[in-house]
Amino acid sequence: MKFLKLLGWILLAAFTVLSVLGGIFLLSKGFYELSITLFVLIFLIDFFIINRKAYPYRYMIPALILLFILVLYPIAFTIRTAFTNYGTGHIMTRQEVVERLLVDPIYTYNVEDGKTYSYNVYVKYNGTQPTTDFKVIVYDGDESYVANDYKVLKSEAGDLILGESELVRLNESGLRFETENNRIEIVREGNDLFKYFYSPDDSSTAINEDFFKYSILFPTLSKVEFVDTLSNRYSIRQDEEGKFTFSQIKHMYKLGLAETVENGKSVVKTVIINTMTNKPLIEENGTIYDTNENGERYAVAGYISNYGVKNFTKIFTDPAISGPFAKIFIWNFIWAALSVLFTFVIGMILALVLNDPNLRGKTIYRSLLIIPWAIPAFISVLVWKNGFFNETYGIINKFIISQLFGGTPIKWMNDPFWAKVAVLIVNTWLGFPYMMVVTLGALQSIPQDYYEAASIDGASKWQRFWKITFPLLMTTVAPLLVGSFAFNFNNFGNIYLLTGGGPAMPNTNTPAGSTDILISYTYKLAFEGGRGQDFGFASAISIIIFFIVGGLSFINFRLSGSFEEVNR
Amino acid sequence: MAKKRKVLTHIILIVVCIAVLFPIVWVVSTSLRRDNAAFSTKMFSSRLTIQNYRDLLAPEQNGPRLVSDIDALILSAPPQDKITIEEAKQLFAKDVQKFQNYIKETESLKAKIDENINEIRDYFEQNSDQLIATFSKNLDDIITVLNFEKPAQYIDVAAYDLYNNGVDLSSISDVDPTAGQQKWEEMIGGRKSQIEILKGEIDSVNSTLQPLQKSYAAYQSQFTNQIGTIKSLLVPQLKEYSKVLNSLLQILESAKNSSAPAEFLPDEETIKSNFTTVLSAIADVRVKTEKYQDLQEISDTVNEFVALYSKVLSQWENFSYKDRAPYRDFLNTTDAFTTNVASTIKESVQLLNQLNSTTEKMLELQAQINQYSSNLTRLQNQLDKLNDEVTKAYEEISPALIYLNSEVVKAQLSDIKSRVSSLKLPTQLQLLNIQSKRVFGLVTDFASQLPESSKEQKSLRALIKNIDWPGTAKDMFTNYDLFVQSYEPYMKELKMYLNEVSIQGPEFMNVSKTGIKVRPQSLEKLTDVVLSTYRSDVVPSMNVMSRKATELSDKLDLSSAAKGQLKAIDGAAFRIDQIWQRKADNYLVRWILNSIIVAITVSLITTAVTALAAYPFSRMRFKGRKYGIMGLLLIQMFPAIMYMIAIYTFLSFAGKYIPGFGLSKLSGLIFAYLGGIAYNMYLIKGYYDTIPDSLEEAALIDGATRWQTFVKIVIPLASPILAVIVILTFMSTFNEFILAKIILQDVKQYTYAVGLYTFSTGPFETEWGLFTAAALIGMVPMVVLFLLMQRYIVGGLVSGAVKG
Repeated sequence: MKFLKLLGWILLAAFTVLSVLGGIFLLSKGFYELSITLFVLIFLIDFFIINRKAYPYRYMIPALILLFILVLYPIAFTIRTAFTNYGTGHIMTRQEVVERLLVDPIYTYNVEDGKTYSYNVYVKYNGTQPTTDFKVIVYDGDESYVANDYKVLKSEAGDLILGESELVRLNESGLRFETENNRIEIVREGNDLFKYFYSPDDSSTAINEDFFKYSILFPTLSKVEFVDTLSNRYSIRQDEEGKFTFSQIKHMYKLGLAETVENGKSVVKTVIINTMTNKPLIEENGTIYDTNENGERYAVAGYISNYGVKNFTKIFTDPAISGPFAKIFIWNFIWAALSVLFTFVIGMILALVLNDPNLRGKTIYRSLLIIPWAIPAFISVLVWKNGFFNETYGIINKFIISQLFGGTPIKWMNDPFWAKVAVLIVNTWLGFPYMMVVTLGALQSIPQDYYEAASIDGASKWQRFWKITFPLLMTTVAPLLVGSFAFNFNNFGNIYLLTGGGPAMPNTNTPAGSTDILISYTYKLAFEGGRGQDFGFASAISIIIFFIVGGLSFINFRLSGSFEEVNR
Repeated sequence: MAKKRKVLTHIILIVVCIAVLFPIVWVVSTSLRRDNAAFSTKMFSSRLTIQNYRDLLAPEQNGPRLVSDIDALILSAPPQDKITIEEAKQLFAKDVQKFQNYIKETESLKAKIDENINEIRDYFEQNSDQLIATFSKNLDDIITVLNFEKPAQYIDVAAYDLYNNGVDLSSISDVDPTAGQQKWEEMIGGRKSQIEILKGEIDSVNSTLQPLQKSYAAYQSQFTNQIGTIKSLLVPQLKEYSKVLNSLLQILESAKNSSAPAEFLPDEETIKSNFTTVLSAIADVRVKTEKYQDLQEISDTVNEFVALYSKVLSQWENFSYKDRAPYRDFLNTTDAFTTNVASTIKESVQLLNQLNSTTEKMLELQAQINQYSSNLTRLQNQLDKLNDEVTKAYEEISPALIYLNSEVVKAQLSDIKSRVSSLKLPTQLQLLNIQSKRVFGLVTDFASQLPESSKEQKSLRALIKNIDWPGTAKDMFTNYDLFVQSYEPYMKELKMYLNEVSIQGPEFMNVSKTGIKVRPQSLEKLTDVVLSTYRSDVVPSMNVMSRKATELSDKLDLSSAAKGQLKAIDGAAFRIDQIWQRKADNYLVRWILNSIIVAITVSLITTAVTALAAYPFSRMRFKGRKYGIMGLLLIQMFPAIMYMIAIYTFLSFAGKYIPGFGLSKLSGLIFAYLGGIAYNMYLIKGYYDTIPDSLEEAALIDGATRWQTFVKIVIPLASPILAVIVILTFMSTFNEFILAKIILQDVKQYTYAVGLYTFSTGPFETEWGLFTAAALIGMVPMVVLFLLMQRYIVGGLVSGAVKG
């Protein structure tokens, strides 16, 4: 036992240390919320285990881990994101973006009238197969250089982002080589042998071009910059004719100092400078701008920056957003209310019919009518969408409307009104069994004596229903109705799968549709950024949704006394 | 009375059940259909097959798949690049064998088709007379329907109308086409020629009107531009100037009360004359404001300005305090003002004049347009009236027209009947076909003249529905011939290239292993034949033949043996197609496996974690107990969608540093699903509460630790609810779609839910057979599971609502 205990303590210590390291790592990568979460978690776990009095909490440790990482962290993250402009064009932090501009091969250009070298590639063979071990020899008339093995300057998760290699004179490199017909055929380094493999000027090596391109050039060689003795930089780039030439390049941006006036004082700040024009880049609102030849500004890159409450006020002030938003908001409430209404009415009627103890085959009917609820919702919705509401081939348009009623096919998916009808039909079909079952249960809890007493007093069927059945039903079912309202308010799946949010609303620059509810709108903003994903705005809306739905549920809990039950 | 109500209730319930369950019935039937349901005109079909299920669950390695496998083996390419040469040669031999089996199967199927086609031909030959008799009877039935009563009036008019349109009425006795000419001219002909004249007049009015309208539109846009400019530039300017003028008046006023003497007065005369010049420039401009509201404001501004200006001038004229200081200010200000204003006023005057001339032009054009328009309306009305009269006339003679037409058609049908009576099938099938097409055309044309949905129209349409069976039969035979024609060379090439490939393959495999990959020509040709030639040459005719065989079976009343033969043809052709048709790969089985793995893992882990975490809430006292679960429930109201951004970011980041984890991996998805704790904790805690403490108390007294009582007593007792939770979590994870869609990106990693979604979009959108079959495969187990768990699902929901 003692041994196990010791093992346990060692594990705990190891776990703590690893997590702290992990937290620091996350911090360095900019995941502030996640690292804080991790630290709090580790602290709590250690506290619970070490402290005797915290015994009850130990049972909750696994749940807490999951809770923190999968629930609390996302919420914190979302809240913070709501106040930033995180989204397309603003995904990385400023530090990352600046680093990119300075170092990434994309931001380089071929120097005009720069030097170009011819080059040969030599490759080590494994039997008859070429490997990715290579050497590059560049030459320019008489001068020949070999490129030293490259240093990794920047890599990410195993992929090379930038490498640097020195060009060394051939005779100073310490390599031996064998020439034939004035061309170096074999290079020896220690015990390794590199054979002549490819040169862009030599068409006899064309059959090796594919291997060179896909196994050597694209993964590594294209990201290596070669430096010669004069500190000129070179890289293998594709020119206009598609040939891969070894040409001189320069980085477009460098860091510099600039003097600006801020608050009446002159301040020296670091800025990014365009090396070609020597002009500093302008930063505004989380985007970095450069000026082109005509003096016009264009965006180079963007980073996450603070947006304040703009994401929230945007809803009211930006006319392109407030209009659709208001429509979506209203439709959301209508949709939830109508769904509850229709499902409840149909469910209640069926429950009343089936509640008759003398009805034969009651269980069969009940089992049959429950099936729409039993089928996984997404399957049903897809079947309805594809087979029934499809405008050209769907059953409803093809057979029921055209042949039975002889009318024109309805544009289920393209007309805002009919799309809403379609979505409501499907939701009612999916939801009425639940209401039916629930109502049946509730009906059975109403004592029969009430009815007997009422019929003795001469009440008609209608009166018995409205004065006895309905009120008693409502007291038990009301919380469920509110719950159903909350559920449908956020019923993303049904709407998204059926219409994808519905025919797009015209004149907006966000992907808003006529059957969109707040949550599907949010999803589209965040994940279907045809015009750019806007996580910041999506986060803001989801906070609003949370307050609405949370508020509703809170009221519901209060009403149904669930809180008391929990406290028992 | 009660019994009647009962029956009614049952009927209503049954109808409701049918309506509600109809989609499911449709899913089942569509998944079994052989044709493509999306394009069919029938809601249900009788050509059934379980091929869709086979394709999804146990895809057959048919012809095209074999060819690509052989290709991979010979070239040592993925997925066959990692095996040894011996293994490759063995697989190759097996593939060749399978291929040869398929060829044999195809040949035997073709033989079956040959045999059955010949049987049908024999059948036609032997039953030729009966079939012709059926056809004739069909004609007789039609002729019977065509017996219309001869109307009393307008026969002559109708006759002439038809005669005028080139219809041959010679077959009808006692009708003289030319007799009704005069009356026809009265009722119809004359009006028709008047209509033509009117149309010409209308055209000419239009041709005059349109250019006018165009030029009016041009002026109108000019007008709008000018008003815009004036409003945005001129009017504000004038208002500004008016302010200055008011100030000038004020200065003059203040001069009365000033006592400071004026010094160095500038040249009064020059200033005044300049001032006056400007006034005269603008004073005359009056803006034409008739008809256009916008101009009123401009006009008012201009008039005000002019009035103010004149007032200043007149005050000046009568001014007597010219020795006071303010007067000098007045002069200076006026001078500066005039200089500033002069050129602007000149421009303004120009603008206003232009505006005026545009307005004039517009009014002029407007008058002309109105005149022509009213002319046009008048002519149009006349035209409409005449058209109505003609229509009415036709309505009046319509019964006569119908009668005459029916007689003509009857005669033609009798003629056709006599022609076909001597035909012999199957050799003269084409002639029969020609005649049946004629019948179809005649009757359809005639039926369209009848009043819509009348009894006769409906019966005629019903009668000719199946009369084109000769065409169907002929198409079937023709396409059979085409099929045979293209089949012979196809099969020959297939066998030849297969033979060559089987010989050359092993040699090339040796070469490929060394890294030199060359595709032998025989293999290229084989691929070509299997993929392109089959599709372009063989498939069209074979499919048409097959379809026509089924149609023929529906249209014609044949013996059951014959129907069986037609069905056999259809079946054999279908099987040939299944062997050689290129089929897209699908991963349904893998998707279902993925879903099951994910769902089981998630449900087990979630249940374990929540069972553990709920225990203290039920059994122990600690801070946070009261509001813990409530808070948890509340927090989980946060829309799950928004977790996704954070989780997505987290997974994409983690995936780079932890192998086997991250985006597009099942482990990442499992991790993301583990957040659904709150509701389960609530349920389990509730259940724990129902387990009495006494057992644990007793164990504690006997020296057990808390943990031991938990594991050995509580957990076993709680196993019912835990089992339920496992199953419920399994079900809800299996059905989860959104998170899976976001996180999984590789087709092979999809869960069943995401995979099914892709079945409904993109290239599979109209592959309803596959889609419904896939839907059914996933649906059935879930429905069964649900029905079994009904008690717990319903119980859990209602018990919260019903107290006690």
